[in-house]
Amino acid sequence: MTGRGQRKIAYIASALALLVTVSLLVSPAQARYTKDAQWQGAISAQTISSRGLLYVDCAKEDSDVIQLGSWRASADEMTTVSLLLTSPAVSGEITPTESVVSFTTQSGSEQLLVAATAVSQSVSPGNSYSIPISLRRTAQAITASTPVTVVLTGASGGATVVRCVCQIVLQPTAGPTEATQTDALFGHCMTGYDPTQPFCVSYTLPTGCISAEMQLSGSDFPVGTRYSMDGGLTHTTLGAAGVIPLDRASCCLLVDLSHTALRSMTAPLDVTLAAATATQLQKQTVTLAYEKWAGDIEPLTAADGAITGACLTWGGEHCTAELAVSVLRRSVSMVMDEEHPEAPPQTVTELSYVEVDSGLFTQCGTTVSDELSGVILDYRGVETNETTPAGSYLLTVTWKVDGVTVTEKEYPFFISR
Amino acid sequence: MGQCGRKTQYLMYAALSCLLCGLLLAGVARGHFASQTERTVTIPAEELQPLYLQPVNSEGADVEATDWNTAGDGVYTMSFSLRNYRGAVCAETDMTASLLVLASLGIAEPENLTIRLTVGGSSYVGTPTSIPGGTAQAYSFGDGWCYRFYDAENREVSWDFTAGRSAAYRLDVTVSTNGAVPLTSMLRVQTNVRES
Repeated sequence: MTGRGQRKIAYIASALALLVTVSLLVSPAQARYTKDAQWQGAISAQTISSRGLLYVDCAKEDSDVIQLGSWRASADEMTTVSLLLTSPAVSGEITPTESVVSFTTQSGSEQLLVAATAVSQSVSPGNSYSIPISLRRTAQAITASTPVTVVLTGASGGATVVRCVCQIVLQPTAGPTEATQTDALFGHCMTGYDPTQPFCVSYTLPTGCISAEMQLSGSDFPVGTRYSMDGGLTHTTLGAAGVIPLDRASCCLLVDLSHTALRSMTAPLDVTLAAATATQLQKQTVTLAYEKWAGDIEPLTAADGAITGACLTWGGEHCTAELAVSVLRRSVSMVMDEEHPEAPPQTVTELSYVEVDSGLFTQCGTTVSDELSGVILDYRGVETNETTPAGSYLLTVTWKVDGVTVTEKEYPFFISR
Repeated sequence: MGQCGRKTQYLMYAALSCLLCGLLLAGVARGHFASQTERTVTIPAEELQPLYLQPVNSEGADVEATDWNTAGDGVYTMSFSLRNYRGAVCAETDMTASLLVLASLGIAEPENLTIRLTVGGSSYVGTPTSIPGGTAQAYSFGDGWCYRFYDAENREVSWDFTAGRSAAYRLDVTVSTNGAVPLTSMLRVQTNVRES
């Protein structure tokens, strides 16, 4: 190569080096100020709380059965029980009404007159009232556990606004002798409990069982205890301390002590099932250890807002958690005024959570079983580099035992970049 | 100059270069050994943010703030110092920064929030617009509203600074929820930077 050629190559190399240097110097200056400074934080319009399934709403007609306690009254004997009523949204006068109930005993059909009398009680929304009710029955002594009902109605402005159905259990005065050999009565039960949350015990009654009840530490459950034997579809509240009568041969009993005097208890809980046949009485006890429910821990969040997990540290064995994620959507519609068609239409805005495609989150829609702790939800983008749309999301965790919902917890979260 | 003289000249250049390199290496070695008596400081490898919003308290001192301060029923406040990093490796360009607040969908209607910006004794109420779909804001924040601040002449409130030179502005942001925010909501305070 000639000297002229070498000089030419040297000039070109120098020019390229200069160009690259200038580009490198200019690029950072351009890039740095295209990035915005930002800070963000959430405002909470309402307290986030877990949603139990046993909370009584007496304003809903025919929705509640309230257990007044075991009544062993003989004929013509009178008893008085206190009924705890909560009126979430109704004002007015609550007045008990009489109810004549037909029932069948082992000796045949007969009439039982229950005369319920109580003073009227003025109620207002959000408050609870203890209403004493006097009951009298006229019948022969019975030999089997028998439920009867009393209806309470409330009136406001001449219209019936509250209707409660109270169930009373008449029990035989003498029971069978206690058995020495017993079958396994309990099935899957939670091994831990937190009195602020419901717990679940599964049982199967023995063949030939004529009456059965659930006891707490060999005695009564406290007033305010709520329970359900149909997976939370209907629920019963103890208006007086008493046992829980079991009218199903097999079920998963859901018990909520969060509205009782035991809501701060931390001692082990002994739950006893007593089942009577014609000849013997079987008793079995399960012990639930106190475990603080950690379901209110916020989901673990990465720096980019992605949900990386939440902890399950409550429930012990047989407790599962189902996960669902929904995204917040806003819809706007125009509504015409039918009485004034010439008036301009009104804009109606609705916010609703819509279930998201399960593919956006790795474990959305899946179930976690028998884990005391661990990551239950991953942000899919972490693994696949796909991006979940930014926005407002809601994670719903439903804890279940044997398919029965124990409690639910909702976590709002946000994805942003 | 003859062939022999040119060779001598090259040898002299090479010797001078070797001497220079030797001096530099020796200097580094001396400096290295001298620095052994000093404390080692670890500098975290963070990306430089030449312009940033630093949460501050009422006295102006820096605070670690991760959430809004509650100042009454449905009223939230946060104070910032909008700062520009001095000495950033960049061209000294005249820049303008304005402030915007993004609100997520949980407030339902933009009228449910009154966002007030107080700076230098003047107060401005944010004007909301819907975050349009397909934009960078929608990508980074999602659906919601964007509040911008305008003065009496309908000009967007902004602050001038020069890239690479230090600057600081005190900004106080107050959010009043009007008691009508139905769901937990995310608010983002963000600067919008452009060349003057």
